[in-house]
Amino acid sequence: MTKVKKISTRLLVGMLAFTLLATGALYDAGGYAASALVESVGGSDSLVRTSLAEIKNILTSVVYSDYLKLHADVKDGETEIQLALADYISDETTATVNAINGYGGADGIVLLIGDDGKISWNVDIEEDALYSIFIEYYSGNIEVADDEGNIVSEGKSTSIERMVLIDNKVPFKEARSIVLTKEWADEYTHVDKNGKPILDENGKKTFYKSNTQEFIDLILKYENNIDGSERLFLKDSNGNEIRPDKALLSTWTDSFLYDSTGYYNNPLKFYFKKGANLLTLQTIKEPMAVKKIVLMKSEAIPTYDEYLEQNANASDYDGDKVVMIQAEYPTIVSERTIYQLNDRSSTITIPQDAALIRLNQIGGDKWQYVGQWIEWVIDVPEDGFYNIIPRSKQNIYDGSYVSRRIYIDGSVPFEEASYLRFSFSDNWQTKPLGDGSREFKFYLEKGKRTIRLEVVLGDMAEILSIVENSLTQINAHYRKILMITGPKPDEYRDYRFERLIPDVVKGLKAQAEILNEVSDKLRQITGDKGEHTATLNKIAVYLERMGTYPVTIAGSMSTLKDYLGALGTWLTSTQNQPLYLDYICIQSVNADPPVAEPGFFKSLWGEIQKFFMSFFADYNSIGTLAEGITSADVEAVAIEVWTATSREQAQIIRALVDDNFSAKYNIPVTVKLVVGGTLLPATLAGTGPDVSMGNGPGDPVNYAIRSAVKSLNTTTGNTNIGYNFNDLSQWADHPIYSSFIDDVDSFDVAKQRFAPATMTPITLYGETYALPENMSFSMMFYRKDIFVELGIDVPNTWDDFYDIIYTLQANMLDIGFPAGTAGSMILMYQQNDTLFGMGDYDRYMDLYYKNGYTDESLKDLGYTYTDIEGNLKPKTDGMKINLDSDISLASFKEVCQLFTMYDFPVVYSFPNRFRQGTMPLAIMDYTSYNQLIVFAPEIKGLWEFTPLPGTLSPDGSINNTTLGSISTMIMMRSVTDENAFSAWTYMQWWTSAQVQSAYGNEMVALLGPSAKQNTANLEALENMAWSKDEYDNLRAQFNAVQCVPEFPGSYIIGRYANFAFLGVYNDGDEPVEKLLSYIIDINNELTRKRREFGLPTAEDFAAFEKNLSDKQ
Amino acid sequence: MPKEKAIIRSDISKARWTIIEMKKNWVGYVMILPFFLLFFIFTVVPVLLSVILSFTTFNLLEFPTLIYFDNYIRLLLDDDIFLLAIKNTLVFASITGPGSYLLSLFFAWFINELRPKIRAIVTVMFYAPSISGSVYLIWNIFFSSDQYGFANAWLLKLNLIPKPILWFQDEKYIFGLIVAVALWTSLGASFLTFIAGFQVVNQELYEAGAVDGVKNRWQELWFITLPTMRPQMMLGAILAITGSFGFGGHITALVGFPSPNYVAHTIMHHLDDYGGARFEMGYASAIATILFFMMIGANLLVTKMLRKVGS
Repeated sequence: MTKVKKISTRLLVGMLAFTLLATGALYDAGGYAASALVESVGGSDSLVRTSLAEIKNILTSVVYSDYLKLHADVKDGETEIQLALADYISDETTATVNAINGYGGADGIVLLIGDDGKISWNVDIEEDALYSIFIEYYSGNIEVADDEGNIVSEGKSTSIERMVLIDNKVPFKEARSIVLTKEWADEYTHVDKNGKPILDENGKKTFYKSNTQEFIDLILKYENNIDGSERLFLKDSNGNEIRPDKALLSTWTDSFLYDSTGYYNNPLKFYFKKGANLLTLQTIKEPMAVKKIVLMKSEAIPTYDEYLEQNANASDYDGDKVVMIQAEYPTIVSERTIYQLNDRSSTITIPQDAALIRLNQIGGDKWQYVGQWIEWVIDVPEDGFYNIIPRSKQNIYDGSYVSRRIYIDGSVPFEEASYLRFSFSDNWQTKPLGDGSREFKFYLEKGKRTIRLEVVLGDMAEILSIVENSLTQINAHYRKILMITGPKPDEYRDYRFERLIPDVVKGLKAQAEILNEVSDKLRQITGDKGEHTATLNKIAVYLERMGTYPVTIAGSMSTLKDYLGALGTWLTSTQNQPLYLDYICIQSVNADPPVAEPGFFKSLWGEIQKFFMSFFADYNSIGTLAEGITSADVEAVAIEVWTATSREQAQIIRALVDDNFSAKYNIPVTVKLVVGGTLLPATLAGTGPDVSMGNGPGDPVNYAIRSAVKSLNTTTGNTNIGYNFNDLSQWADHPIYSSFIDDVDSFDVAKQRFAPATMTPITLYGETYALPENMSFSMMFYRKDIFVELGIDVPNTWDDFYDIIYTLQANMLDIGFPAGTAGSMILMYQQNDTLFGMGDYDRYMDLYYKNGYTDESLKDLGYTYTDIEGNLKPKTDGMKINLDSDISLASFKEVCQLFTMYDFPVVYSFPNRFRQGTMPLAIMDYTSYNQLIVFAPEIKGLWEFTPLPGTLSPDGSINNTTLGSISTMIMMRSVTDENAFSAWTYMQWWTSAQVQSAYGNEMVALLGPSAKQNTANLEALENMAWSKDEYDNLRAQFNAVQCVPEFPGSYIIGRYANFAFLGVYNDGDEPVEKLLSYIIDINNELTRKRREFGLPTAEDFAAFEKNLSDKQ
Repeated sequence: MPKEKAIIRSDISKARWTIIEMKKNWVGYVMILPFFLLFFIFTVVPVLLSVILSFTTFNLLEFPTLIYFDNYIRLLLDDDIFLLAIKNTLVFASITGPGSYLLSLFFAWFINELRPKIRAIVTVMFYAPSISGSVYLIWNIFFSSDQYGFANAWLLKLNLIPKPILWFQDEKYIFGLIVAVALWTSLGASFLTFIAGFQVVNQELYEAGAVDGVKNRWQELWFITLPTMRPQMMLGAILAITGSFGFGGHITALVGFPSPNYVAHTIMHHLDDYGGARFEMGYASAIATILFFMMIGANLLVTKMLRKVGS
């Protein structure tokens, strides 16, 4: 008996141990993502390559401050010169230009300039002069047509970006990117007191814009309502406030040309020589409509003291009225990403609710980039001086402050108004606007005044600009040293830098001085020695030493590199100027500012309320089902959609479903945000979704062969396999579907939205199991400036590529290349080889027939399928791996040699090395673009991505195929015959261009420019905020993208291919031998898996052949 | 109350005796009930289910079909990688299991000698790596495959290697590195229980021991301290076994999945390969069952060995 007890004890202990083990083994699910790929044949000839000469014209290292010094003796031009717009020089103009009289309500000629090139004018100047450029342009979207009336260029609702050239040269660095912002207003719904929409006689919602008189009247009417009972926002069924949409304003607006980085507070001045000058605007982004371009002097702005003097006879307002405008009611904003937010951190944020979402603040990290502004209207009770007091919070940058510039009725009242400071605090603050040393009072006239706050760098502008220049210089020096020493400098060797590169040695010293000066200045501004000055000082000390004792250069390189990285990060983060606003009020100069934060007990009570309300408020339901749907019919067609993305994305999806899908199709959709990995267990348990979004590329086929996913185009008629959404007529008589069936695209129509290659991984033996959502592929990233410096051209073919390897490596620069089969498959597909054994159907059918099979018996066994053309085909694709083909082995060997003989790095941090310039060329996924845009603004305009180098085909054309990877959307087996069509309606709706564009825009709006979606929908991709060049390159590569198909057992390939590459790299094995040694293992696994699913295998056919030869 | 004759065990059947005992101690049973239910539902049932599933083929999406012992036959006779995984697991477990156990024990012993305040600080220092979740990932930074990774940068600088080594991707280094990481993170819960164990030893026993002729600290440790803290040592042993058999997660995070040429492929990995990547849950369950019995075996072995302590 004791023995039994002992054994049972041990069993229990064992089980306990097992539980510990099982829970402890958390695996990285990403590790299994099978390799993703597609199939289409193509090579593009529409390569867009910028020539070396073109790049040279654009690159200029003159910084604006130096440019001004250079022309210090030139006076500002006094006479205004208005360009005769219509007389543009057609020889120097490559953009499509439409001249239209009276466009957009303007008087006179308006030029509509396409985004397909440049436009130039002649400017005659009487005397050498510096001029600022003033421009009147159109904020709305425009269309530019060519002579035949075809629209060649269409506005995409993004900011206009242009490069300014004078006499075909970029005068200074900052002129490479001039941004003109557009104007956006909120589109409010007419609502009643409860936030429910007021419908018109047709039962539709009615809207009004925030820049209209109606809106201004309303906010002034509700001005003193602080308990949140009188609100303009629409509310959802739970009572939460819903953000209004943004609408681009079709109005004329004007601006001087400013520096888009914000380093210079005044309008840029351009030097024009006496006589004829050629002024050119070169497109970077967006077409633009121009009414007027004037060269003029920007007016001097008085200082605060002068301002007070000018208004000396005005008195301070001494009434006790406090006029308050809620910050969440702006009239116009500069970008659609600036929108109302919910603050729950303070109980006195107006308005506040313990349970529900109140849009009670604006700004934050949506309002942090230079040039973004928000405008409000405020009603001033009488003429006089006022304090302007915002309730603001900057809780992101510790020890630092953010800056704003204020415009009152469109103009900056005095110089110091460009340097308003908001210092760091965890709490809300109510301080009158000031520049840190004193608080300002503003003279306001009675009536409605507009107040605009714009993000500027303030006092930091100069410092940042100097540091950025310095960083660029030091990076250049660093690269020059690296070209001598290589990436691993030998610190015991005297390279004699002072003889080889005396400029660099001197330059290092000069930069040390500059950084020391900047650090002193920074200390004066922020008032203390902080982390910031420490970074600068450390680098200065290093540079000083390196400049004074060149022998120490080699030993200091790696430390210097780390410091430069730190400096770059500091620069990027300091440029961001986030600020939250709750309200803005104006009041008497002598009155105390409003309370900024509640007292302890009020705060405590608020928190207690929030705590208890949290038991009742349902924060998780992202929305509710469409209202008024009760009939059983409708419930039968309802669908459930799962997405395993982030909460933000799920919210956007829900909003799109509510606004767009439900309005168009009368089908209830439940969107659920789930944790990854729940899909399969839920499907097994029968509680899974009807549609699952954001799946991996291999999921559709992998789930489908286990009959968990429905085919979308099956012609078998078997609903266990799927449905045929090519023939929608079968649903035409359905009581609910019939009303909108004309708005639903069939499968074949929907398919046209994507690159043909995307169908490859989601199609198995004639059945397509998914629709693609996102798609990405490798492209070639390169640094223009370094290519110019080294005098090398961007490679078009692999031969060119090999040519420049030499130059780059001779200068100790690295190249990023995908390792192993990821790289070699690109070469394979460029030579029209495939990863799997494909085709050869006749031979296999022949073998079947000779071994006594008939079409009928093959069909019954499931060994054949009928393809689109109606031919009977054996399911033999993917029986064998094709990595042992001659082309494949040669490609693999070539790629391995890049790493073994040419020493390419296998592991590297691409964005870091690319921004430093030590890796000026890399083949990377094109979505790295997002990272670079946000992470490395200091190299803006100095890099580009283009299609891959290609393989020269025998016929002389270049095949620059790249391999793509997709994410997919699938219809799960949980659908019923009743609601399958609803699921399809949803899928084709979601992947449509309109919805994908809206989704992309929302994502950027919500998460910033780094969230640009790599949608698979070609039309939607085009509609995103790409520059013309970027899109052209992307499009060129899109034409030559292929995907690798997915077959049972695919997962094994990447694994063994990786082993092979590692064997070659680590142990110096022979590439071909090593790869061949794994072929048998791969084929065995493919065969084993195919057996599991009753598919024909290579071994079957080997047996057939043996049979036949035995008979003979 | 009239005195009754006490019922003794041999008077009645085993079942009856048990029921009587249970009735008598019902409070105890009620108290253990919540844990027992949870343990039964979330541990015993899944383990049993897993054993049942190991006799089927089950792809997670379709209903399992019975195939009797096919999974085991294939596993033991036709799966080279499984044999490799068993080898890796045993080698790994036999180094890191005892290694981490002895490390924990000796560190605990040494630390126990310190003054209480310092002891608390040192304990936190040693325990820190295992509480802060995925801190072992700093090894990834230290042995980064990038040429600028710490180890690579230094070795390149000293001209000991011509090109960066892919530390966690090179068969030559992986095993050594993961053993090092395993030992480094092993001062976990068992280490704490040992420290606690040392604290509860009755000080009077040492006095008695001295009187009885204990000559040195080793004898004190072996004859008095360790036998007194046998329960803690038992727990530590179980933790060490589970830890060393189930180290898969850390390996995957550092080396990736699967490890190059399966050089660090443990049974846990094999299980996950079939259960996760290949959707062969039946087969994966067979692997789990074997792992389960291996651990029970290791457990028996350790229990036996622990009984020798102090004798």
